[in-house]
Amino acid sequence: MNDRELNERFKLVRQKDVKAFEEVYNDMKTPVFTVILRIAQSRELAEDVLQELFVKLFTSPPGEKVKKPRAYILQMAHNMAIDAVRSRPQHADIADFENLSAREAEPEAADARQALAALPLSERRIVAMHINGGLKFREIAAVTGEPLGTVLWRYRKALDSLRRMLEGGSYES
Amino acid sequence: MKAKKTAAVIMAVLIAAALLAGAAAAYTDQYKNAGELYLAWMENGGYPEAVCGVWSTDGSMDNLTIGVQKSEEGDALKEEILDMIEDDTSVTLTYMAYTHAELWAIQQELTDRLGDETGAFGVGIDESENCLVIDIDTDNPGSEKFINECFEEYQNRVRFEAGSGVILQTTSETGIGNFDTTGMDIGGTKGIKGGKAAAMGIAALLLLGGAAIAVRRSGAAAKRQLAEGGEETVQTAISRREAERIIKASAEEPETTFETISEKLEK
Repeated sequence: MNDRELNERFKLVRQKDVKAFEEVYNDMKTPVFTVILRIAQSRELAEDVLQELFVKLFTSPPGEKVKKPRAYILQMAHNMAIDAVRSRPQHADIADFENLSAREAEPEAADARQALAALPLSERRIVAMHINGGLKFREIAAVTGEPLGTVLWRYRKALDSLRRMLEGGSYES
Repeated sequence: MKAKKTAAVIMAVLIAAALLAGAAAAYTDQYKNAGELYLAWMENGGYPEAVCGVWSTDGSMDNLTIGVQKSEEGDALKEEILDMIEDDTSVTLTYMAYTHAELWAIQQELTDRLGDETGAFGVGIDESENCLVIDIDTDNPGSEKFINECFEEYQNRVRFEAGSGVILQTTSETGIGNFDTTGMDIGGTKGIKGGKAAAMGIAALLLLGGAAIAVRRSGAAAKRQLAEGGEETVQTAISRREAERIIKASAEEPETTFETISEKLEK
């Protein structure tokens, strides 16, 4: 769904249209959950944040002034995930490798998740928001409050690290 | 008969004009300055084919130098760039010899040869100098052979750095010595001559400020200069796009269903 289509749905959601909200959920659940999980590094916590986020989205959907609902939702996801990690620090940066690997039918995906988990949060969230969330670097800069150049640099550094780790190397800061 | 020919010519001209108008209409991207254009390239899979490199000369995204290949494609791209950028004072266009894609492909080849056998331990693209920079340990017994092989095969597409400040380069005469890739200005208004000391990688410069070299380590393996003066060695062999594809494919599906959300909403 593009921003125009999402806005059409949210217009209905503001009138408490559950069907439209379900369409939004089905379209956005994967990118939103991926971004949250990459930040939280805990499936349990990520599921909680996802549920909380969509409950909020239904009770307080974005208003007409929100022109980019996708970025709006992913910003909520980012902020709520960060808050959750801070309020429940025992989850922060705990990579649940065993559970993740057990679920993997695709070893490449397992490698990717392990590599992502090894990145610092400051890089991981940018990678997730750009690649999985589909946000532009400028939008990510607005979400994280960092200068655009910093976001670009972090992304490039993260990708270099990921490429090396996906080749079997380890993360080097 | 003549009238028919004239009509056919007019029709052909009209069709051509329509096609040209269509092409122009399809190419509607406009950017305020060179920084925005660079950003768009980064967000859409990289540089166009004829681009050799992009770097900042003053530490900001407001003044960028774009190297384009001295070729028909490069000339066409130069015009496109100037058309696309509203503020053409934000860009200096410079001719260079080798495209970024060509250097990147060589970087992939060289990556396979990094290691104890050659003494080479890092390779990256220096966009402002339009060459690959190979970090090498000249105490390694295999390094001399490797250096000679590289100069023979890649000429001034490669430059070696041994330790701090020791640079091995090619010349047109012997293959060893200094060379100059400083481009000449071909557009824009800044008049920057591609000064080596001032030219630095955009993103690295914005963050690191004091970094000493404009090496875009986007290829396979790299020894990166860190802000505090240390170095980090990066070795990869998969492309950036491949890495992005793998990361994208690793997206996570939640176990939470819409019914779960609905139940929470009903409470």
